[in-house]
Amino acid sequence: MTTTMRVFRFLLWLYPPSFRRRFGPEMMALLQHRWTLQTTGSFWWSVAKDAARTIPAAWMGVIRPGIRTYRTPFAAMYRRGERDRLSLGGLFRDIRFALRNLRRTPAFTIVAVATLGLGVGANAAIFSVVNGVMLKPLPYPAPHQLAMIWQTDLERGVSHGVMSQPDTRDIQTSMESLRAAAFQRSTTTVTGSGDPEVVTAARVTDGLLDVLGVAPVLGRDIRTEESVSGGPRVVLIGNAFWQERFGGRDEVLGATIELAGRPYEIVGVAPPAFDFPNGSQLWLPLYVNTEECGRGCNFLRVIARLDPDATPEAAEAELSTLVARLREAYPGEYTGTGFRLEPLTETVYGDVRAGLLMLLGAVGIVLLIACANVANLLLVRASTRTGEVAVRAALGASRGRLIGQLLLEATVLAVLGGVVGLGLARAGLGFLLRLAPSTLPRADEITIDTTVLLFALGTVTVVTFLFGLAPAFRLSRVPVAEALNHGGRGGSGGNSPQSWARSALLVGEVGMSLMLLFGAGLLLRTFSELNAVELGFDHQQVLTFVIALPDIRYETPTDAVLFFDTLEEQLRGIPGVEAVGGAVGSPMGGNNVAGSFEMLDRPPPPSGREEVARVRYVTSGYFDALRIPMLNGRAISPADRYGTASVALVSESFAARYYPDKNPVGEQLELHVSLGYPEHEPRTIVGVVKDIRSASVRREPQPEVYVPYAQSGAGFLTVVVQSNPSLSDPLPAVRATVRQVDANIAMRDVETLTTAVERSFGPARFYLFLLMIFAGVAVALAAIGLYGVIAYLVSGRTREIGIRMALGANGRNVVRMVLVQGLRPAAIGVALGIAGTLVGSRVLTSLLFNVTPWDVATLTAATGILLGVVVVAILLPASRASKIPPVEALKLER
Amino acid sequence: MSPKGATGAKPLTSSVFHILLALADEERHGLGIAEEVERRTGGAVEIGPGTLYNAIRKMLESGLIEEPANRPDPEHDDPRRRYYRITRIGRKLLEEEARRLDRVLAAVRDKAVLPERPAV
Repeated sequence: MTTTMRVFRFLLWLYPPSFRRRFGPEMMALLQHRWTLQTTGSFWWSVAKDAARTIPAAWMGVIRPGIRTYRTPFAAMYRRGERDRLSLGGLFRDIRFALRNLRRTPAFTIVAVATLGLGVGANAAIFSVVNGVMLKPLPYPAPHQLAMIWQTDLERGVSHGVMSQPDTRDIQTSMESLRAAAFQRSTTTVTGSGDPEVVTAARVTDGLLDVLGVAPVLGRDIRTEESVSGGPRVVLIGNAFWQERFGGRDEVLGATIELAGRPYEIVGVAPPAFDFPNGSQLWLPLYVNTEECGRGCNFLRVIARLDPDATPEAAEAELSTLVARLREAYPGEYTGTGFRLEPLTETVYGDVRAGLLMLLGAVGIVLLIACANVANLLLVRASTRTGEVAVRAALGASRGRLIGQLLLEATVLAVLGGVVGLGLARAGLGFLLRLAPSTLPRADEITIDTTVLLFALGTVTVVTFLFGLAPAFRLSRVPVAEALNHGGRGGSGGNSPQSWARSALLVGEVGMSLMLLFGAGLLLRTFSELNAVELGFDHQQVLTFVIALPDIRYETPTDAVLFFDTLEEQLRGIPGVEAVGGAVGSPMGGNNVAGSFEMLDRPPPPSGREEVARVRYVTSGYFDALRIPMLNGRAISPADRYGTASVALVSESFAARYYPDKNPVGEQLELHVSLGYPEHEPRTIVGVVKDIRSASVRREPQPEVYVPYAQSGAGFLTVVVQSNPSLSDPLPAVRATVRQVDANIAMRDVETLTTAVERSFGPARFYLFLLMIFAGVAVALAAIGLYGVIAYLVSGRTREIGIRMALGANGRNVVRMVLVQGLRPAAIGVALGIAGTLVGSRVLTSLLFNVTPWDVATLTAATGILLGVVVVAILLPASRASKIPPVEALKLER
Repeated sequence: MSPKGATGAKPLTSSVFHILLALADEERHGLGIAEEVERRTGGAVEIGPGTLYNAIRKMLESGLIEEPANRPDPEHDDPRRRYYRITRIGRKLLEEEARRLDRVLAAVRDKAVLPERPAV
């Protein structure tokens, strides 16, 4: 009953307020009365009919009050057949008329609606991505005040450098124009209840919630005095974590949870949906010992909120005076260093902006082509309708009325297209998101919301005018007498303004298709270049995962070495596993360590200007597992342990850069970085390994130093397991083995190395795929448009062709004639398209790899493909024309 | 072209005619009018609420019907209800329509379109 009441109330709400006030209660009573008495199923039908008929009438009564008064002849007023001439009813009649017209030519209507739907749908889908990622405000109050502070070192090309804890404290205490907090993204393992679970947890200084402008729902934020070495074990928990594990109870404050084997006291609960940075569920103090990790020990990201009345320029200036002070106070430490402010939005989506805007531009082009096609269809249709329009004009329809009616038809088409498009967008969005790179920020914000609907509405409006206006004006100007004389067949001669419009549309379609095709071609080249890159290691059939040992049970580096020795041994025992290795920092993964070093065969560099290389701590099985070949010297052996001679291997490019003229084997290095055991003596280089692309497929190999893991004993390691193809999924066996070695340890970042490699391809694949779809659609639409126009022109010239052939022209002449007629606009389109690509392809630069945005080979190929399609689209109707028997053609009386 | 030539006037719209007829003998409220119409036509005519009150609005505006100043016995009254009664003009229009229908019916009988009803 309540639902029914609600429907009734909704119906009443549609009537004008004055009407509702006066008759609403009575109408409600009548509806209820009928509802209780209803015996047939047609109740709702009759209610709907009644409402549809009377709501416009009721509104008309409000809009034109008092027009009908006592002086009106009642008899006429209430007689049948006397209807309002200028009314909403009239509009409905016009819409009905438009629909009837469209129904009369179903093929045209279906093609037009599908074309527009495709255009609107693609635009709405891509726009919803842009909207979710870039347009929706960040979920914090006054997000424009938020910024990241990065350390820069222009000499070394560092623009997004992290900071040390002392730097952070200086910023927090001395800056007047902003408040700041620092964080480190991390994970931890929740232990103590059931299976250990890895959760995203951030290490934070005090003030993170304050800077972001949110308040805990319970308790408090982390405090300054807690964020020190040996501080109390406290944790701020996320709202979802609170709901899941504590049922949202208030008594959670003061309770403890066990993280990596240690109890932490819960001091606060974050507000719902707060998960900064990147999906954090827990926030822990930093506990950094500034004795060991002081200035120069950079690992923190700093976020700041500008004071409402401070400008970014003022804050930057204040930051540079701070750096200048530091440079003075700590000579040598801050040479070349600067602090830089970057708006948070830039940090969040700066990397994807160009790509997304490129996609938006591409779908915009698809929409324009779709519009051009529908406009073409309408123009063709218009010329077959000149008769009808002439008749209506002759019967007294005004020009405005005719344009109105024709525009209304266009609007109906556009609205239908818009509805279809939104359906397509809804369906396509899920697909789009599955395809999207995992690095796409804010992917969970992407939905079809009001903004997207408004965008679609705007698109439909623009589209209507783009394709509707020209044909409408054209038709409304038809000279009546002439059109009537021609029996309703429009002229299709070569020089009429209509054919001009059609040619212009074709030129545009071909040009824009070429731009998309060229863009897709460039990305295709990029993709094949990326695939062809020699990585230097084998990523097929390799499973990788990270294990971080809880230091409460693995206190010393020796414990860690023993654990990983045992684990590797056990993993090797799994049938089908070929090789097992481990590394701190596997290729394409995180946990990379970089450190400065000194070469002992030359004088030491000035302080602060030491050479820096990537340092990998690898087990003896690592090079086998990834099939990285040795070039010189020996590999790491199981006998290289802490206590035996300290050794290192270097990569090919390390040797080339630092020892260009001699064999590095036998030379000594002093590393300034250590993870477990201290670096107690210089390391002797014992071998050279081949370069690998370890950071990204796109980046040239960097100089690297390999250190035996057993001489480091870090508490975490990425384990790599190479299996043979007979073992389709090694994961269950691997998981069981890990549990067997230590049941309280969680594997994290489990993935195949191939996945990691593909991720480093970057978003190119995503953009490539979409751009190829868009280019395909564009070319198909352009071909259909061209075919349609040429076929129409040929049919209009059948008689002429017949005469020509009767006078001796052969089939080939006819084909050539038609071909030239079609190729002319296509050639102009190609020329304009090439000009367009020269301007437009620059937006792709950041996505390309080993291809310039002006790649001539790609441009040639794209032009070739497009012209091929164009020629086929023209040849089909041309060859049909050449086969018309002249007698038939001449008989065709028009 | 129009039926005027044969019958003297165009027919009234059905809802206006039925409402006037329902109010011909006594004052009624909206629901009462709807019930009376249904009762009298054996359910063959059912005026929808929108149609009914739109017609009432127009008829009030042009003075075919009016709202009486004095309400019925408060004991039987529902304050939500509003009563309507036919005006002099309304009655005149109804009579005109009845006369028109009578002429139509006479013509129908003349031509023996319907079979004679058997005497009861």
